[in-house]
Amino acid sequence: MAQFLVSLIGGFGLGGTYALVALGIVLAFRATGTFNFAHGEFMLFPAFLIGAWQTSHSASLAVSVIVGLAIVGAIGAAFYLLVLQRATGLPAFMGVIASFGLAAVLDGVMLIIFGSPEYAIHFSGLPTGVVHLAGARFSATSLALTGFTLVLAAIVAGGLRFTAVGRRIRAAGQDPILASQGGINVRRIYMGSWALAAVLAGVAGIAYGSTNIVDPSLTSVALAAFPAILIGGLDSIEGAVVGGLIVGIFQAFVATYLNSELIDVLTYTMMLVVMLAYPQGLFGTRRVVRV
Amino acid sequence: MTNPCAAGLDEVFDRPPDPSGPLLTLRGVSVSFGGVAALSGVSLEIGPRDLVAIVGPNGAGKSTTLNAICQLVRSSGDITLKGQPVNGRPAWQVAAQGVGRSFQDPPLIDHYTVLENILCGAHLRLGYRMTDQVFRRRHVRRREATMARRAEILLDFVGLAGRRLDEAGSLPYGARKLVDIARAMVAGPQILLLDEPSSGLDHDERGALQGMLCTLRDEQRVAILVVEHHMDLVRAAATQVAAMQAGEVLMTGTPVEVLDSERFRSAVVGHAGHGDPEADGAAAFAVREDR
Repeated sequence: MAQFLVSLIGGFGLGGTYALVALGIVLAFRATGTFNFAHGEFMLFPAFLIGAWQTSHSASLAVSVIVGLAIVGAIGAAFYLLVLQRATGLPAFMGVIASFGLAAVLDGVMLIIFGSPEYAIHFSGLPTGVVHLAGARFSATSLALTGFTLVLAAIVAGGLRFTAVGRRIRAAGQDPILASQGGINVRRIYMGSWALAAVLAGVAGIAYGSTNIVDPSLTSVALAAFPAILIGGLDSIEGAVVGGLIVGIFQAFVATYLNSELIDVLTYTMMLVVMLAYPQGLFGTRRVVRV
Repeated sequence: MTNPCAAGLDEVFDRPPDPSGPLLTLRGVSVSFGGVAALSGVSLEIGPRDLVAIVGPNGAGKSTTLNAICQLVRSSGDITLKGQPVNGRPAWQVAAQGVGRSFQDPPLIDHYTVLENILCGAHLRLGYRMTDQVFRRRHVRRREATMARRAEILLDFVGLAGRRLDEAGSLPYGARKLVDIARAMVAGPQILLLDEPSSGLDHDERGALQGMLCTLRDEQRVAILVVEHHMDLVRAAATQVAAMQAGEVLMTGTPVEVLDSERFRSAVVGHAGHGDPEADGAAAFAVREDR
């Protein structure tokens, strides 16, 4: 029972991170149809900045979090304004390649600024110690961060569904011409979507880095979230959250009861099986094409 | 005769245009796509209570004219709306100035209901800020209720009140066109741009559409610019006709002056007609066939 509970709660922790990452990728995809391969770098940059800040400054950690998220949000917005907006009307594949380019540039910039360090992020305000639950022991920090990522993912998904701003973001993602004729400033919405996507990636990176070592391999967490996106549905906000949780919990159970080396194989196998039954993902839009 | 379904339209069209002077003026408007001239020096003038029909064969530049007015394509020349230039302005700002636009292929969101699709056009008038969602919830609810009531009035007006909760994807093509037109009207525009509104409608539905257009023109003083292939509708409803061919305005005048002219028949239809209803039907058919 204790092992099961550890797997389940550990899965929720990983799933919360995946959900935030997937939400960001889906937001950017809905805005411009671009699958963003620089999302891992968006995760890493603020985590590196906070790690470096922590080792060299005595100032408040909150300042470094705000600065890190503001910078990465600005990078996301600038990437849309300077690259993707100009590529409007061109094949979507160009935007994907451009995101590879952005990833390479950000990797190079981070190497120049930070080198290849390893950081451990410590938030002094987080609870510490061990929590006993049904015979299992949990880190209070991990539990707090798990709760934070899950609540944040739910707030973002709920905000996108139930607020006017969310409706505008979803409408602009569905059909930019329809949205523009409804009075929605589509460019601003797209720019905001990319900024929000980058900030969500940054938050996910910081949360993940708070319980793990921050090093360049953190970018691989974004790649690990890709199956979550396809399982949930590439264009579904709710699907991103559900897909993230499914993959996170699934991986935790595979690691506990089978073999951690099988995580990638079985996760992608699960993704393929889901796609066999639901090609559009569990919550994705099924497009009917009459021929 | 007053349309019985037109009750409440005063609430929707609550910003009647200034009756003096033209609402929309085009002077020497040109559009080119990669060196190919889609529009060459188009000039038109539309005032309140005008219903101007643009007729012509496929590729004549009819829809491009509407796109240029909405700023969905870049154009040269002068386009002024209520005396204010619109060239270079974002499409959503043009829409917010009181231009409603429906499309040849209705851009509906298939998994939204008919009512929700119509409300996609409501953002033009909702106009509340993100903070209002939190601090002025009653204000937000009141505005959204107002727009929902306007949408219901329009559903009744276009004859789709019984299908308000149907998914848009389940509607036949003609009904989709009517939803799109209602969406274009929900913000109470002063000028309506309709792209082939009668395509997909049967004879009775076309008659109902004609009644709607006349009601909007006569009772609500809405100016209407319509791209249309059904000459019987043009004869019955239009106050002015602009015949286009190869991106240029061939001639303008009353429906009789244009549609019965040998110049129009030989240039647009391809043969001179006889000026009788039967020939008109043949001409209309020929124009439709030309598409």
